[in-house]
Amino acid sequence: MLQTAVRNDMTSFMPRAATPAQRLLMNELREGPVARLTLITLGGASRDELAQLSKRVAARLRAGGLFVRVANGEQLFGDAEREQLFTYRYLLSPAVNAERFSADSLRMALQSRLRELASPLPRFDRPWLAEDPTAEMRAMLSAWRGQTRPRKFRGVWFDGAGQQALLLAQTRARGFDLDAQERAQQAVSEALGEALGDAGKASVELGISGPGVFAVASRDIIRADTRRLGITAAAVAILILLVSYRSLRLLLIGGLPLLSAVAAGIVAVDLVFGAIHGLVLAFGVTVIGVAIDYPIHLFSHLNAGEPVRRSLANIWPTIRLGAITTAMGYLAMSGTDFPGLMQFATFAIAGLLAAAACTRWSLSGLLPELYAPRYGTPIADYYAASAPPKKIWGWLMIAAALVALGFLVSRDHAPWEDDIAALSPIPESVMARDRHLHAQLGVPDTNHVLLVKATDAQAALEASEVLAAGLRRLVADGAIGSFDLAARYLPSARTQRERRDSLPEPARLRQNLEHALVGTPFKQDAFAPFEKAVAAARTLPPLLPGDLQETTLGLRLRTSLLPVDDGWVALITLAGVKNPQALQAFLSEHQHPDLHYLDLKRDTRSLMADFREHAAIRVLWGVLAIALVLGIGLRSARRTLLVLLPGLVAVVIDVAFLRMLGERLSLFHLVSLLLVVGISIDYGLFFSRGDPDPGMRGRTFHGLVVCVLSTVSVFGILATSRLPVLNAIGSSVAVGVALSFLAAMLLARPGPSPRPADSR
Amino acid sequence: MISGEKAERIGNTFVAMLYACVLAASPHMFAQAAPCADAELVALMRMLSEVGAAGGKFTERKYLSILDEPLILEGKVRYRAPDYVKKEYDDPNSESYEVSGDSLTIGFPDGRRRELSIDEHPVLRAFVESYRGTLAGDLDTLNHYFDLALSGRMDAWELRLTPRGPDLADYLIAVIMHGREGTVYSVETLEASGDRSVMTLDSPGD
Repeated sequence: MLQTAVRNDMTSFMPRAATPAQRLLMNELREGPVARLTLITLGGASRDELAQLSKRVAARLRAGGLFVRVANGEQLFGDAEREQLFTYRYLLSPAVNAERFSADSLRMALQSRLRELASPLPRFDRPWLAEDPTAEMRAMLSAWRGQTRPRKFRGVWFDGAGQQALLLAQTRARGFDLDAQERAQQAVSEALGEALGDAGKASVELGISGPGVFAVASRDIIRADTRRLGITAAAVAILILLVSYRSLRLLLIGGLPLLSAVAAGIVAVDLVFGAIHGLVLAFGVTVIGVAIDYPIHLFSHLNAGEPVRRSLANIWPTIRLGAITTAMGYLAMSGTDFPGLMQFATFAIAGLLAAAACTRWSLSGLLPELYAPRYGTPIADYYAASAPPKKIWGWLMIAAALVALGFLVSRDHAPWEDDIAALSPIPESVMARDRHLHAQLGVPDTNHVLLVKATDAQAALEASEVLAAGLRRLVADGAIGSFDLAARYLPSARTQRERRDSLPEPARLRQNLEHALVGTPFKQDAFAPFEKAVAAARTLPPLLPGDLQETTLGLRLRTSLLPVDDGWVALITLAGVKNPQALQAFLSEHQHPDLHYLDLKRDTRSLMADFREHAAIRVLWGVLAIALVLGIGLRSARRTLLVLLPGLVAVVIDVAFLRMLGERLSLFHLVSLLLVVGISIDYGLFFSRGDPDPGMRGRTFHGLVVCVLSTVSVFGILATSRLPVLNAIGSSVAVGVALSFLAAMLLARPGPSPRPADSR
Repeated sequence: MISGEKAERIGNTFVAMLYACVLAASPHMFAQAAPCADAELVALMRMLSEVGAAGGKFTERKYLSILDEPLILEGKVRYRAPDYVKKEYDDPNSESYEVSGDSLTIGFPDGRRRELSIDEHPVLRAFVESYRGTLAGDLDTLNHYFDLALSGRMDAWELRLTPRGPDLADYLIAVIMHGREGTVYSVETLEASGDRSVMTLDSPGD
């Protein structure tokens, strides 16, 4: 049990992708280079200082080895890589075609170079002039740079306002290797600390964001919340037990079912899933809130002068029925495709059954024969002495439920929360800032993606190049803002061969060049290195993805050209989709079984919605299963209805209440409602037990009050969590359980005594 | 005579250095590792800084290793204190360059204009400041990017700017200015590529 792996990434709480394309993309988002990006901002100092710090931090991180790439606007390529790209310029430059090296084109190129030489500004490509008079290297680099160019100061990136230096780093570790991500983030602060030391400066404002950073932050919040909620819930449960029974002995004994519930829950989840999510551990707290009811019922029914075993046997059928019905509700949930929810359900079923069993078979042995707790019972006495509530109150409760139902039906839209981001504990403002900075750096937005599948990498590149020609028209028409694809960085071998074959033979080039040089001040042999380079390029084999391993370009390529099970996939990311109709028209024109269009935001939304509908149906099945078990246990349709009714009334009012508070309902509210139904059945069963004497009736009531207090407190504590999932469960269960108690009390019609023949 | 004058100047300089180091050694100067200001340099800079506007027609000769003959460019350059410089060429196919504060505007022959920050690239500002900073007599700025060496007399001085940072040295070996009192009349640029250019003002002050 101690070795149970605790996972804390949020992906367990995302539904599994439905189509292979979605699965690939989800996986890529989880594991791929985009998930490894860390955005670093430095602020709170003068621009000069920040620019210097940016360079120093980048140098340290590059040397540190935890990052494969650290970009801050300084030179993009290392010397070796630049050399390689320069060698391949005639195959990689998008400007190369047969016309490029005609006498006329060359003359125009030389005139342009001459004008540049006249410029008073320093030219970074001046040293390459003799080898590259047509400026192919420049054409290549500007094609790669794209439209978005971050603002620069002293050669390093700054945000739009010029207040913060920006760095973009890619970790060597996977995005969801949280320990490694945390180390990488520490390395950033250390690098900054050292750079500050070098610069003799005390501190600047460091900001780190990105998927890995958010994952680590989520984990930390989950850990902190689990601990805080666990301790608080335990303290509250202890306090309630102490106040209710004023006995240390009962407190210790009452803790046993709770411990067994948590232990059984962890073991069951570990056995079934091999690991347990941190959130599910936090959820264990809620199981305590339910399981505590069992020992409370027992303690409340201990009678002076009656053997403990008999009291236990007396209430056991009720506890058993309550536990089994609640478990049935969760069983319906456990068949879902949502790993996190399945763990929830497994934990709850194992925990509740263990707590019930522990109450039944372990506690009696620990209590002395004929033991009865001594506690003042003003509540019990009052309830025993008062008449049962008038029927009118029950009808009022049902009327309230009908009003609530009417309110819910009158609303046009179902208030569902299908945005997956809403599940994350990271505040939306932080995410928005991250997106804004990424956009300034031109990091591709992966919401709109075209996915082209092919048998091998080259075929995927070729297919994406064909699409790119059409997409360029869409950009020109303003239908989409821009697009990005692997072939932009490394064209297919076919395209490279086409460019290569368009290069003129040496004699022809010489002739064209001689024509072009007439009337220019260039030396006759000035461009001999160029002639040599073109001649050499004519025999170059195309540059392949494999040749670029561990280079900047290779890393860039790996974000958009991916191996899959049975082939390769090229991703084309689209930015600024303004005219979805035009895009759809383009797609239907190019319809192909291996071309998929993903609108990730829309797709995850619909995935969540599908899943939520699926879960809603399962919740209904759960309620039906509960009703069925109740019907079998109670052998009376009327009593089944009476026991079930408080839960249904409570759920309707609960939902209306949440809706009035403006809360959007998620999957997790649905699950909570099921829990409310389960707990309300306990209440319904005990209220309608038909206890033989007023004293017993009073004690039952006392027990129920303790139950509802502890459950509402524990879930109320959960509602204070920063985690949207726990918050949803906490608030809806706390409200629902309080309502259930009220409804059960007002609607209860005590049935026949469970043991009329054996009654004292 | 010249050697006598030189000896005297070295003596003066030495005293001035001592004086400056002892009395005026602000932490700022140490942080910049700036040389103690040469008294004559300070005097020259003051003279330059008192000039509110300068410029005129120029002829620029660019001696490039790749060309048979030097490139000869003619045009007009205009300076207005403290930070405005415009350089335009007579050739209608040439671009014009206008620096004001931190921004550089390039005017293309077809009328398009492109504005960029001179801080975008680390060596760009240094290039601009070598000329603008000298015209403005801005010693602090010049010291930030260059080692300065002044020689000659006030009516025929030579100021040599040598880059301090390795980034700049990749492009530039030195900029050498010639002038008479508060007027600069030629700028020679020695680039790391081996290229060299000399800009001479035909009618300084016009």
